[in-house]
Amino acid sequence: MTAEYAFLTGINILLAWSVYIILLSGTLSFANGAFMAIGGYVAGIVTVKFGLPLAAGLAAAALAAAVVGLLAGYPALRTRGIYLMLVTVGLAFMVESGVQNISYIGGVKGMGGMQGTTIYHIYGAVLVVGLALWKLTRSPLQRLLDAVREDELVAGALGVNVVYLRLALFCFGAALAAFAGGLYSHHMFFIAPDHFTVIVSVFVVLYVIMGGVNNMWGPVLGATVLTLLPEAFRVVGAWRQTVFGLAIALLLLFRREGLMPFRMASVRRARRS
Amino acid sequence: MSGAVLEIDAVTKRFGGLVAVDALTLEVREREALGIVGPNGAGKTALINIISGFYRADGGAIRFRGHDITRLKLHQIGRLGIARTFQNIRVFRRMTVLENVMAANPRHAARPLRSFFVAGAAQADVDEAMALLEFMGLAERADQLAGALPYGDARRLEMARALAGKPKLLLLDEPSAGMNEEETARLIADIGKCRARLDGIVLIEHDMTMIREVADRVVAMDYGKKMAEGTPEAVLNDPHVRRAYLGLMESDVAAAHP
Amino acid sequence: MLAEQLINGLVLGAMYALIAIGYSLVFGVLDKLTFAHSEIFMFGGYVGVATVALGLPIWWAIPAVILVAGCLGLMVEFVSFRKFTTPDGHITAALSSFAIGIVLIDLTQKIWGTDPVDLGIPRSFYTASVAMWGIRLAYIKLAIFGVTLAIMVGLQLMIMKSRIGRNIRAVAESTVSATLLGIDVKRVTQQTFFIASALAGIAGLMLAMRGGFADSNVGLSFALKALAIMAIGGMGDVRGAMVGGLVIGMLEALAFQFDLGKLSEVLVWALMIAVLLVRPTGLLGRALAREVRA
Repeated sequence: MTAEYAFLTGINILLAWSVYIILLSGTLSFANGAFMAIGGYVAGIVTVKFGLPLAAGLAAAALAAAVVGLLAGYPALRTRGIYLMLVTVGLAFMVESGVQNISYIGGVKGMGGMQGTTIYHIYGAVLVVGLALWKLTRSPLQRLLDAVREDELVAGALGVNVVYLRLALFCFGAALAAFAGGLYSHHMFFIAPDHFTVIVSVFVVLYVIMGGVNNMWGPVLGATVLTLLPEAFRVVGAWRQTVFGLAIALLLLFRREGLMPFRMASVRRARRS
Repeated sequence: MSGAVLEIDAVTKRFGGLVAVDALTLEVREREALGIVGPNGAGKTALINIISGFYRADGGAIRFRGHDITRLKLHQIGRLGIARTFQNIRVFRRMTVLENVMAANPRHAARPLRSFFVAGAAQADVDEAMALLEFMGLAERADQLAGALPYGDARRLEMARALAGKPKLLLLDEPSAGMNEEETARLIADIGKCRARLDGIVLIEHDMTMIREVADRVVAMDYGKKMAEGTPEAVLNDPHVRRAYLGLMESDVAAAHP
Repeated sequence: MLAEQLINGLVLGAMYALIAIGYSLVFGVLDKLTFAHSEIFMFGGYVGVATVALGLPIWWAIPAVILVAGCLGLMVEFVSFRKFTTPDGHITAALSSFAIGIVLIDLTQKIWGTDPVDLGIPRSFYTASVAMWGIRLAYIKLAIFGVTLAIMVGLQLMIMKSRIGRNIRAVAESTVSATLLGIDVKRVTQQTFFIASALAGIAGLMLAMRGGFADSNVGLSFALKALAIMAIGGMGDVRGAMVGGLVIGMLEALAFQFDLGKLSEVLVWALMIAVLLVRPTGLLGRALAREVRA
């Protein structure tokens, strides 16, 4: 396994977690590839066009995506279920189209010149995000999120501002995806709109769903396996799309626990007096 | 009408052509338990939904200790101190009993993002929740999944969870539905225990025993309007009320006490 | 020329309408979205390629695509929709149908390559035109419009008058009531998928005939817009899909006329988002009462 695969795996783990964070409040986002694109380009603009250091680029990337997430999310998160799914898909298409048509960033041909990310950056980020998620799991916030997923109306009646919570997590997820996008673009040196199609958004969701949605390690598993498997097996690699597709369809058919299984209780361990 | 805990002032609610609540005016006085009776479809649950913020009133006003809450959002009303239970028990089924109550901790519910930085099983939070569970007699079941609870315990869990926010007003929607005599008696005792912590209770019920035992005053509703108001005896013996319930009373009592 | 662009718009709109109707039919019956639909559309063009490659006249591709696309639809229904009946089943179905879709793209590309494939019909086929009212009307465009119009009329008749149509409408209204009426919901679902997919396949064939080539990317770049159109016109509403398709087609053609073509892509999705926010069931759909103020 070369460093290149390790790198991609790290990026995909971050992306999978970005979807997971949003999923914690019961929202499935098909727009995280778009947020990744925003991050990749914004970070690139900051470092290449303005000559600022990588850290500034990454910060700008996360901020830009958070703002977009806020603007798009505020109206969007008022819808639920299938409508929300469509809205995030629509958002992904809009960003893809938009990016193709802005000549400042190279339009369809893409943009180059970004560099500076090492494997340590990636896994440093993975470590930090992992720790944050682990802290989350052990905090009252996790219980609130579980309650919202169980019954959002009752959670609301108990005083939880569900829309605000969903929006906050949406922005965090967007920022993380953009951060990953920034790291990505500064490793690849060159990015183009077709690196961030709607398919990417859907694939990232698939990493999470395949790996397991009821804890923070599922996305890691899904991202790792689905990134490395096609790279490790040449035959699989050439037929990657077909294998992926069939695997997904079959797994969804035979999963008994359903799509959004619930996190199991964690408070009880610490409790007993 | 001042000095009341809750004032419902000519509140109306329409669903398309149907008027669920029709310019209804009533109040909940300090420390009283107000019973609401009426045949199915009278608008009782709609009223609870309006008060608690699940529905928005189409007309009229609702004041909670003088504070106009008519246009407030669901979570805002919860934070102001109005809590409720549901006709078809809505506990968080896949969470444990303890987690159900801890999730309702008002400090965290009101500041969810800040709660990220708090320890998840902080002893103070756990103790607070366990105290409530003990109060409702659920301490032994703390680690059981709420979805596996027998009916009576699930009902008690709902009440414990509702109390976690230290509400001032508690709305109970047909809490004794599906309970037998013994469970109903236990429920009456539980509600009695809760009263000390509350400024007011609204109790929707079909079970007349509960109404007689718990309610200080009763309002009878039909077709979204107030039919009668007064002491439980007065209202339950009112001829209009009896007529609305005619044929329903016997079967209702029979259904409530299998 | 404006008039020519308007004709283009109608032709474009007709194709959008056919695809959108398919989305509508499935949503009406199942309350779910199928993401394999756009790839069945894409495959329609390749059925045309295969037909010509077998030495048959291109028009034989129409019945062929009805059969092939219809069967693909049945397969999709079985794999991606039959089993997922829980409340969040629509997400599972969406992901599963998407997975089937990408399998279809990959297989198509493995067989025919990733570049667009020439249909293999003589150029005169799509350049021959007639002059009417001062504008050139390509025969092929007239033919496409005529065929799709006939199909839409036929479909409306079928939905309104035939037994299959009545059954579909009944199931779309309420699965429970339909079952109580003795309707075999599974059968009707299969029929719906067959019809919807056949429509998509025909539209894909028409697109290939208009341009003279089949392209494996058109599913994502062209057909998915029809999903947005359905959402705009009315989720599950066939009339909404038809009207929406034609209108958006015209607007897109007009946008190209005034050199705003690239904007149109973004605008369709922006419009969909706007409609979903204000009126989730679409412009022609019945408004749902959403009571909670949260």
